[in-house]
Amino acid sequence: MLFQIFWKRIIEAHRSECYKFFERREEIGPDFWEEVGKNHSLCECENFSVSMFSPGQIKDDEILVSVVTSKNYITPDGKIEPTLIDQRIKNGISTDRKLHTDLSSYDLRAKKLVEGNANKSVCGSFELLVSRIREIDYEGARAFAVYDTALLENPAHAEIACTEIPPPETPERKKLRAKLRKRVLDSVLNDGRILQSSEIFSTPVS
Amino acid sequence: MIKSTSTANSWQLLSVSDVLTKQDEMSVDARSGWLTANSWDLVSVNDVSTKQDKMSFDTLSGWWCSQVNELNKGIWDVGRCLYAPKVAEFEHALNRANLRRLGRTNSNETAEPEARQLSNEYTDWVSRIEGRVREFASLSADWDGDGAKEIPLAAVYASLNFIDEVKHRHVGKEPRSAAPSPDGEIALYWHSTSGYAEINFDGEGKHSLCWGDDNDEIEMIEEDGDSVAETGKSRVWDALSNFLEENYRST
Repeated sequence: MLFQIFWKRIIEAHRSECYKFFERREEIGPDFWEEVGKNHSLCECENFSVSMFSPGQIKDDEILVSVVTSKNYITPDGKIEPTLIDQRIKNGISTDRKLHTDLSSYDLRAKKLVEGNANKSVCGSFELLVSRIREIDYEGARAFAVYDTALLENPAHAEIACTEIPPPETPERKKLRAKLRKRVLDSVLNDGRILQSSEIFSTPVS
Repeated sequence: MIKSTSTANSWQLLSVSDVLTKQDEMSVDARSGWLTANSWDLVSVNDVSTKQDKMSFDTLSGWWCSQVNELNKGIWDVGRCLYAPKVAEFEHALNRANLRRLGRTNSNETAEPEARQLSNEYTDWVSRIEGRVREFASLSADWDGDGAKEIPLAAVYASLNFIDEVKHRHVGKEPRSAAPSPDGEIALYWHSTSGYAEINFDGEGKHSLCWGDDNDEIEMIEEDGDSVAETGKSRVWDALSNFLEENYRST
């Protein structure tokens, strides 16, 4: 009984620490994900909700949906180019939890995402299974974490973040990049095809 | 790329935009060995190569032009041709690519070059990949709207040359696709259930190969220079050849 109380308090302390850390995101600024990697390298914050707007922590069998905003990241036969993820190794990959959103909300957000940027357009979307992202390891440790960074205007918002980011141009960075590219090709559902959002939301969430 | 009227001497100045957009109208007639262009006259491949070394690129005006003053013929404007000759790389690319049909590219004012919609016109896999790589020549800075770096022409040429070598030495094992990277590189990659390999070309003559089998372990080799396809000299080429033999079935 005493052990259970003690254990519960430890868990609560971790939960509180994670929550507070993610609340400081704006204050920390553009290096936020790097700081998460340094301070929570074991991805322990995945075990809790890190946002007050979240419908709950993200489970392994959930599906994430993300929009492609440049046609240059789509192969001529309509599949995802693995380099799509490169830019986001440092900045985090913004996605929606399919289970907690719907077609009209998703479309609205996708539209806002490209507004005012002539080089962007909504070109389609792809789906990823959370467990396939969490499986990626690098040098024996987890390489990517998935957090429920829900927003007031989008409770389904989730982000994929790199736990430890090797400096750009280094062999380590290139190896990690290749590993992630391979995993993107392995993991994107629907055989890697980029689909219209209406097609994605016409299929069951799991 | 080079417009002809009745003789090879009367080539005209073309803007960079013209060069990019006109390329798709040119091809080599396999029987005659002549370069042909829709509504243009025939120019032999030899003529094109010969004239290339007399051309340079004016960075200020954005015109390809001749170093020879033929202004009085109303054709050339030598006064605009004092800067940054890029003839060598242009000629190199033309020669190595054997003036194959160039994919249509637009100056990329948006992230949606018209060329993307035309890619399916390519009839075979290699041509599609080559066409796609050529499209990357039109990608200037911020081509994805998220701050991607420009794809250097050197990377385009290196990729085309490499595809050419793979096509001849590993028939049916050409890359699955070619992708522009926001780091300003071109990645050619192979992906199957038994393994993954990618070779990346940057604008400074470097290339790196990353490869691994289905266990997710990735190995990497990086090299400088043009020796990428030299068997026995390039570790990248040797490693890729081994990978293709062991892990990749013909397409």
